[in-house]
Amino acid sequence: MSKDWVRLLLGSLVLATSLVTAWGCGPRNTSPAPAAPEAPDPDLQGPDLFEDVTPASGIAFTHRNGEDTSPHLAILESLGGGVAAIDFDGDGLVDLFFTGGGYFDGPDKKQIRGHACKLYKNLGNWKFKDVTAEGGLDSLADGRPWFYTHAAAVADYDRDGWPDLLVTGWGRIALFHNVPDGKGGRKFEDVSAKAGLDQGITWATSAAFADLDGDGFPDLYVCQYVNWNFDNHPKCDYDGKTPDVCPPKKFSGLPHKVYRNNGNGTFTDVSAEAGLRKGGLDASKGLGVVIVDVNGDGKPDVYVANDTVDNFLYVNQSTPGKVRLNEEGVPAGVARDGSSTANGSMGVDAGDPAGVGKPYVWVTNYEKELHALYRNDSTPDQVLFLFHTQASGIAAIGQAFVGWGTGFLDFDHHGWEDIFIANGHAIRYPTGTTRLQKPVLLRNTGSGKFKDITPRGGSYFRKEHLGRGVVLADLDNDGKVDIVVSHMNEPVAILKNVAPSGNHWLGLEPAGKDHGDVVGAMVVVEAGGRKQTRFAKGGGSYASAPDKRFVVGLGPGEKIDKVTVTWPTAKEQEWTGLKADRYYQLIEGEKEAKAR
Amino acid sequence: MLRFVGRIGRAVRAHPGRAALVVVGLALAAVLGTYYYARAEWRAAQAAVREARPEEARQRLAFCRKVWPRSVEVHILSARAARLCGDYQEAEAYLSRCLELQGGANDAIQLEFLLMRTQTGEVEEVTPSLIALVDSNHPDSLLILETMARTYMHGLRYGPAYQCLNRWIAISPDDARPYQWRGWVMERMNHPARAEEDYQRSLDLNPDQPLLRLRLAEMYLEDKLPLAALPHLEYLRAREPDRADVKARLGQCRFLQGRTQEARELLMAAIAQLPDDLPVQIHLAKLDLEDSRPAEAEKRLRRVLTIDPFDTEAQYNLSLALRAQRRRAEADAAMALHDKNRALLDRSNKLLAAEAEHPTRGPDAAYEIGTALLQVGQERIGVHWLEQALQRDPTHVATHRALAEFFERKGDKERAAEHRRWAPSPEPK
Repeated sequence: MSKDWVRLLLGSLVLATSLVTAWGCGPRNTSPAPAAPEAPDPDLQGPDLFEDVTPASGIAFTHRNGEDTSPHLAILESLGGGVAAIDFDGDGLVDLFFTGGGYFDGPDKKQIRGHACKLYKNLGNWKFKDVTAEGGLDSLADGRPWFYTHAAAVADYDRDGWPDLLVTGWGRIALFHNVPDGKGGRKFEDVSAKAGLDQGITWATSAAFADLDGDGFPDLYVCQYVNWNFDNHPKCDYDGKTPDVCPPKKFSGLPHKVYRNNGNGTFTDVSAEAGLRKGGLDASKGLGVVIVDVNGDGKPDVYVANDTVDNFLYVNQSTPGKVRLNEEGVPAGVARDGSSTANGSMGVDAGDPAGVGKPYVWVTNYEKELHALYRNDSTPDQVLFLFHTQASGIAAIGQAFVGWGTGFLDFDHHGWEDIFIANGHAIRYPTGTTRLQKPVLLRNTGSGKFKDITPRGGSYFRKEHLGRGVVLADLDNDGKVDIVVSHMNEPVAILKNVAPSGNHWLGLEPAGKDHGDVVGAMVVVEAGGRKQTRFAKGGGSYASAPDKRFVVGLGPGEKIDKVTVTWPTAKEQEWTGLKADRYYQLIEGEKEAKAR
Repeated sequence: MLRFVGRIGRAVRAHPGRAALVVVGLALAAVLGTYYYARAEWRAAQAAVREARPEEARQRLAFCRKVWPRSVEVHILSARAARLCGDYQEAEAYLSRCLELQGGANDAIQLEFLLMRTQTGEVEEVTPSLIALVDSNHPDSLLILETMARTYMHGLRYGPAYQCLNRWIAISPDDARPYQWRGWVMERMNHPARAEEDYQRSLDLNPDQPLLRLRLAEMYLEDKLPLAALPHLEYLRAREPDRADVKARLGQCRFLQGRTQEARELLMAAIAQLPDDLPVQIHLAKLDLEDSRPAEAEKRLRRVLTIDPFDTEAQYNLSLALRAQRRRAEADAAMALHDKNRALLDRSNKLLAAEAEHPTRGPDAAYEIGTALLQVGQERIGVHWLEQALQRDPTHVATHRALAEFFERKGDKERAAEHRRWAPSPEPK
């Protein structure tokens, strides 16, 4: 019998068998068994953590980018503005300064003008008063109108004991000296020309003060963005048809500036001799800056968040009177993400979320990128960071956001630094996501592991916004860090920290001898068997100047063993006997901490 | 056994009439069984062709041809299955047999000939005829569109493939396959979000596509969306708990979630079976760096670079691993190599993006893309683009030179010589 006939006979049997088996078979269930319901996440349960108190605060201000005044879709419109936390009148309450943005004027709408900035005095009890005019900030020197503004920075540049104000924007920066108003109060005076800061700027974004050369006077670092102007204004779209704001890749980055404080009320542009990188198509599109000592040598180093190109880490190698900065971002592993891609970086901060005593660098980035948490593995002789976003759990929030202002804060005093991020798209008509975006609140669950708890934030967190600058500041001195957000074309938001907490805290304000600048100082609080470290920083967030004071969460314990400050001069100083739940000023060289 | 046969013999002798009936019955059963089995095989073969399992169809059709050796239908389907398997010689033989049996070409045979011409590269020539058939709602429209889409996809001609797939979906919106294919095309056209949408739709229509589900999970991981990838990976793991590639991707997912310990366990479980899986090695290297074990990270990254010398992520992290070991000169050299390769990759990506956005007809762009891809080790695609350049201009000297040099490097003297004829001297320096 041939094989075929064997198969025929077998076929008959198989047919019969298959008919029989098919009879009893239903469709296969391809779905996996449903997972058991998970227990509710305790971090996402409970009352709101922040209350939007803007309507009753007396602050009614909107940064305007001018998009309603021009059809040009200029990239200038994409940056928005910031906030400065500044106790300008020394009453112990943090006042707030907002940059105003600008608009387009003239017959062809190509004249770039500024909206007035605003200064709000903190009256206490969550009430603020517009004191812009009394404060001397309704115009520039000689009554000239405001330019198109973005950012603010704060420092006591002349060491007179009063915080001064710097404002940046399109075409220039302006320095305002904090002076007596003749009525027992304080006001600002535009000293830009006198200080030598009224020239040489094309498009300034974030700025930061720090004593880079170790002479006690704060020097100034100013980021610049790209070489856009109406003569260099290509048409762009992202979907092949809808005109939109161009991306920064269409432009060359502008060189940043560093100004040495001469100690006599003037500044000198020392960018070239300091070794700052030149601009170019693939370099130097600066948006955010934080100055902090990353390698523990006492000298404040400059970290710059650049847009779509490598971020900078300028390691400070200055000597008194001579500013020298060595750019080491790429070899140090802090210029790009973990896949070696340069990101669109905007906001920045430095903190110690894992409690290891070294400043990690934190950077908010563009959509389709991860925000960057860089673990500091530096040693005194080598600067080295590791892209730590995934391991920290932060990557779990995905890549849908365009992040801007940000910062570390321990909102409930549990002893670990949490993170707030303001989000909002840079372009007008994004595809696959929205222009307005929700903010993000990340809780540090201990040792630098983060978890998204945005829904707990409160009503503000449940809505989408066009967020830009952010300051984290304790506006009512209750030790709970509050949040102020500047949006584009949407009123600013004042978010009161109402987080329930049975925990204790310690507020600290390090101050230099003779009002010397303290950026680069390190503060260690020993309590409850742990050490927590804070770093005196210049700049931070995006286009903003956060509260200079530190709030350290102590958890349930009240006992503070010791506070140690390592000043930029490398001298260490210790304080004991400090009490919980209050602020202290720690003045360099003074034995007693001053309760505030 | 012998006793049993003896008993049957006795029974037959005792009841010859009944015995004859049993024999006839058995014979009838065999014939009927054969017929029904062949019909089942035929239907299964048709389904297999329809569901893109042509190898299986060929096996089943072999039996059908025994039963129905003169069936034109069976031979056309046999030709189709052979064509789908890329066996054009066999496909042609079946079609010739069809012509013999039919005594000429009918519509179905002509269509299959057209489809074979399409698949063997004459797509431009036969497209108008095929599109006309689709426009006239030909009953085999889906087959036509499938074949055209497949041909365009194999030829890396994503635009026309996309058009065919759109039409396929319009005719058959509940078919999972065109969504899967269009997703594949979207991936290559650098529209990952749309690819993900299509893959998800395909899985909604047919959940039982483990490879597609894994690819979708991988895309979510590439987008750094661990929570989107997780249900797919858990689904796959529940069905095949020992599958190494699923463990590997789940490990990557856990890494993105910050669950580093679990990530390491899963990745280590996968690496034994997947020692050359680059993402697994790179993720383990990153975990090594997280755990301050740069020497271990270095080993893994060097292994990655032996497999793909142009993996810039591995090069970058290798530089950091070396720096963490204070081998700064080596770290700087690794970073310099990374920067060089990165620039080459960026250039080839830019060229590809430009060609996708504004397709050209001349040979220069295809030549540039091909040489750029060869420079970054993408040999298969690089050669494809160089061949495209020669299709556009068979006398393009620079392309012949590039191909001659490539095949010389590969030791393929015969193919090198073919191109060297057109470009006898090395490119002037």
